[in-house]
Amino acid sequence: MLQTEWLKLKKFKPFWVVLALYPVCLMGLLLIFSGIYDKANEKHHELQALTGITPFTFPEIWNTVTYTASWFHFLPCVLILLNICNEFEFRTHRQNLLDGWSRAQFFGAKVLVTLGISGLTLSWVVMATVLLGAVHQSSPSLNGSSSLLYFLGQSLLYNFLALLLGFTLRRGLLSLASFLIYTIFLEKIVFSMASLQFHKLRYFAPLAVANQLLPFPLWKEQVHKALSGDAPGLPVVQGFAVVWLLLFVGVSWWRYRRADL
Amino acid sequence: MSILTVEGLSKTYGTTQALQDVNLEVPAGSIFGVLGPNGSGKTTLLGIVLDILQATRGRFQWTAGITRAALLETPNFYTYLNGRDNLTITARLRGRGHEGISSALAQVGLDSYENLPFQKYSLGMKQRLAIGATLIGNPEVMVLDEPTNGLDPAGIADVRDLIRGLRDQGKTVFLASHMLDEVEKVCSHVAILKKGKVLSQGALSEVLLDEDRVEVRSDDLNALADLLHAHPLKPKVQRGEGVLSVVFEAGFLNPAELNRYCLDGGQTLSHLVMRKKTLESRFLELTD
Repeated sequence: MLQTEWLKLKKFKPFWVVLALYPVCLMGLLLIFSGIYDKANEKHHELQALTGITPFTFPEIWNTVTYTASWFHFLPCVLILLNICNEFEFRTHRQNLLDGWSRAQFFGAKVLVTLGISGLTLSWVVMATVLLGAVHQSSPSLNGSSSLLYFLGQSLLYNFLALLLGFTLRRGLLSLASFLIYTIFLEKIVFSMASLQFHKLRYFAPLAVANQLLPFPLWKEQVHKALSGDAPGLPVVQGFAVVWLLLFVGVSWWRYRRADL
Repeated sequence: MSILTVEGLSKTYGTTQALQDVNLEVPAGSIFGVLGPNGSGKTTLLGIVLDILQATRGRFQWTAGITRAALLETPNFYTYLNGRDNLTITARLRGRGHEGISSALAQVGLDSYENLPFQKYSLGMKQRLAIGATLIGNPEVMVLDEPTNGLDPAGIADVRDLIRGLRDQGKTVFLASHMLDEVEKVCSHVAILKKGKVLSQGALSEVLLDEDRVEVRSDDLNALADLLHAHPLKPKVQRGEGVLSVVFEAGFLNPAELNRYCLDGGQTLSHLVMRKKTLESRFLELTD
């Protein structure tokens, strides 16, 4: 299935342009941040002593890069929406079924592409971390690399939300607009209002769960705990992340399995 | 043996009934044409048996293990890929290698355009590529929805020859069309649909020959009409331009006996011609 998807994508230029934007944007932003931090540190030597954290050397750099990369989740989501919605808009998904694939195979292929894109972004993040660490004369270390797992979980939540919107709405622009509206403010508004009735609900919204997986890198654990107030603990957040992931995939498949195409 | 059996198939879209209790048997090795005016449910029927649409009621059954290819409505390909790349994807989806791609392109006359992106193809070329795609893997059954759409007269003749060739190879073709003369030229079986209902179906000869029709003329058409109205088989008598069209129940017309009957009744026939009903006239009769 992945080989067939590769045949579809290998000459689709917009896909590769968006894919190339990810490492460029990530590395560019990280270099800007590290440059600012290094300059500030040169002038005010007490900055590092104050925070007790060196964000651009191992092991803290894992958290810094994964947290920064989390701002670019929308780029892989654009790829996923392009990949799915194009099939619906050009009706090639129908032709795929007429030519021999079952609905399960078509859906499975899109799930594999989504997983592949998530894996690819993870590898960009690893490369960016190692490169940036090398720039700061820091030897690579796996200590702290658990951030990668949380980043992957976060990335999967965003990417499978895009898959759900792609399979549900089927139109590229509509899906992209809905994705942006939901991620930027709709979820916050809906779940904050619902929290007025149901205490703590806002912590369990899909993207709130995703965002809680990776803490802000310059905060020590104690600061994080003090600021997070009555937020649920990490195991609960992880559990909800899995529940949302299963829901996104399940609802997408349920909708596609019986739909008129 | 039937390659496809459809039983009690119905489909509704909101309040619109697209198909109503459709029953069909598509015999193996037949060229089965589904005819109907626009909106009669032809594409819906094909969409359901191809698992693109979900039936509201009823069921269908393909013979187990058969291989099939289909063209439904418009040709759907990846616009940024060329003809060969698109057929490579088709071959992969069918679980086939690259070996049939060149011959499929040659069969539909696109071998010199295989490197042109699909988006630059003309409507006729797109349709040809879609027909070429159905040939990959040498499937036993072809389902074709309006296969001559967008084709010029030469292209239409090519499709007709292609379908005849498939028939000669013993393959089954299930096609929907509103091109009645084309269907009449190639189909062995037809089903006529109107507003989602099957009005008539069976072998083409059975569907057409449910009556015998003859044109007659004598010097006195009024006297001849009176004489024919009095015929013991009670034929329908219609007035045409200088002739009478006489319709008997299928199998009851004997031209020699009719000629003798008229002569005995004092009318000498100056014209007596058997008229085979065309699919078009039968279609209009059923759907009007």
